[in-house]
Amino acid sequence: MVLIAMGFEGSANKLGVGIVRDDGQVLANPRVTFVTPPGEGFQPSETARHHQQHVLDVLADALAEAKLSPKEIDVVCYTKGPGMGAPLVSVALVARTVAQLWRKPILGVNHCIGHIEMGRLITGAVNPTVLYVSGGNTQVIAYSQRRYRIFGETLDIAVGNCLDRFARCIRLSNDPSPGYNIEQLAKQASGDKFVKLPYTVKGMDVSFSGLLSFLEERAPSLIDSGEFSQADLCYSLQETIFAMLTEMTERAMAHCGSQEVLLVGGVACNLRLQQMVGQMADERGAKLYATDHRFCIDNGAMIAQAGIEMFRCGLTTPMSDTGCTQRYRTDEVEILWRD
Amino acid sequence: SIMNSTGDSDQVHQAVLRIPFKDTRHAEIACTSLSVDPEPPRSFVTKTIRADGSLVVVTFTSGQVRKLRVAINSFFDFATLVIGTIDRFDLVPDQ
Repeated sequence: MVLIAMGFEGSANKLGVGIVRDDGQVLANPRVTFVTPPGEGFQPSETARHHQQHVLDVLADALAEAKLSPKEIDVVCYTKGPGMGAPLVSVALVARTVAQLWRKPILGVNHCIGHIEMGRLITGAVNPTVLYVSGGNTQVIAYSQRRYRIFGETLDIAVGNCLDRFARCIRLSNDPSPGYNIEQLAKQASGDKFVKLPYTVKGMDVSFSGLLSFLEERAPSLIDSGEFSQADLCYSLQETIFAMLTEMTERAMAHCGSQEVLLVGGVACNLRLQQMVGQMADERGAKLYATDHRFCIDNGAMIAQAGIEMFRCGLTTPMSDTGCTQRYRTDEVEILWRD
Repeated sequence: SIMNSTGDSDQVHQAVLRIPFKDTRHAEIACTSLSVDPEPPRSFVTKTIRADGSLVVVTFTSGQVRKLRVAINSFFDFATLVIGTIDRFDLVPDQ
């Protein structure tokens, strides 16, 4: 019997509704992004208002794209956390309401696990070491005994947050995303000019806030001196932070004897990061797996996909438990669908 | 009059919203959706919500009037969203 899941995602500034069939087909995955002016980040209340304004249209788009009526949906899934409070709740409210209107079960999904399960589905990676890198999260994850275990993570800010805040520092456009614009600018650097930045790997973990402070303090004077361009700074930043991530990932792969590495999360779209991790994987005789912007960046289908796995194991969430939580560790969820 | 923990006021301010829905089913759906999330910590507002036939009755209580306003504004954004969802995505009778 074919199962169809609908997934709602709005934990940060992306708002997506996806529909996935349990044979692995993504039937619809529309998404809108709340883009702020250059130099500004996105605050919870304005992000929540953006999601409230768009969610019903995106939901209608998803049903239309999939050519489905609500009665054909078997389970309504939504992001329980982690993420920003008011945006999460705004989306959960719609999920709760349609679940009741359509008389369907509801499932609260961990956002990180959504990324992992969508990555596994799209790439076919069987048991990879996962590097999950986004504006809100930076973790190296490996599956063991019914949990996605965190082998390494950021001790302070996510790598995507570091990129976003540097983009604000040099007033880069946030359209389509600050990280994308840093990547394009870095490509314009000659590679001859390199600013040495604090390289901070601590044991199995990484740290970015010291590096960010260092760069934020010096960027204006480095550029004003005429010696470095914005492109040179973007290049220096990427080379440093991506090397740190590659090292952290390699350490986990060595511990696990892993032959596969999967990149997920918005920062995983970055081709330079893919190249660096890919090179490391090659040297180890391992294979790199990555998806494109449709699935790397937060989206509704990934929530539906993780939801389908949970639903097939017989899980549903009682309505009274359909709250949201800003902190939700990847290893808190029991992964019943894997051995 | 009541002294609350902030010592701010000995008046308890209360606002009651009565929101009509088409029928009991819609009112109960809205009530369920809107009663899951707790008020934010340090909001100094207590909220109760219940369905009374086809009416949803929401009561906000606080020792501080301006905190009441914040809670009610936030609630209106969420309630508008739930009402909009019901209006747009309710099943048509033959489904």
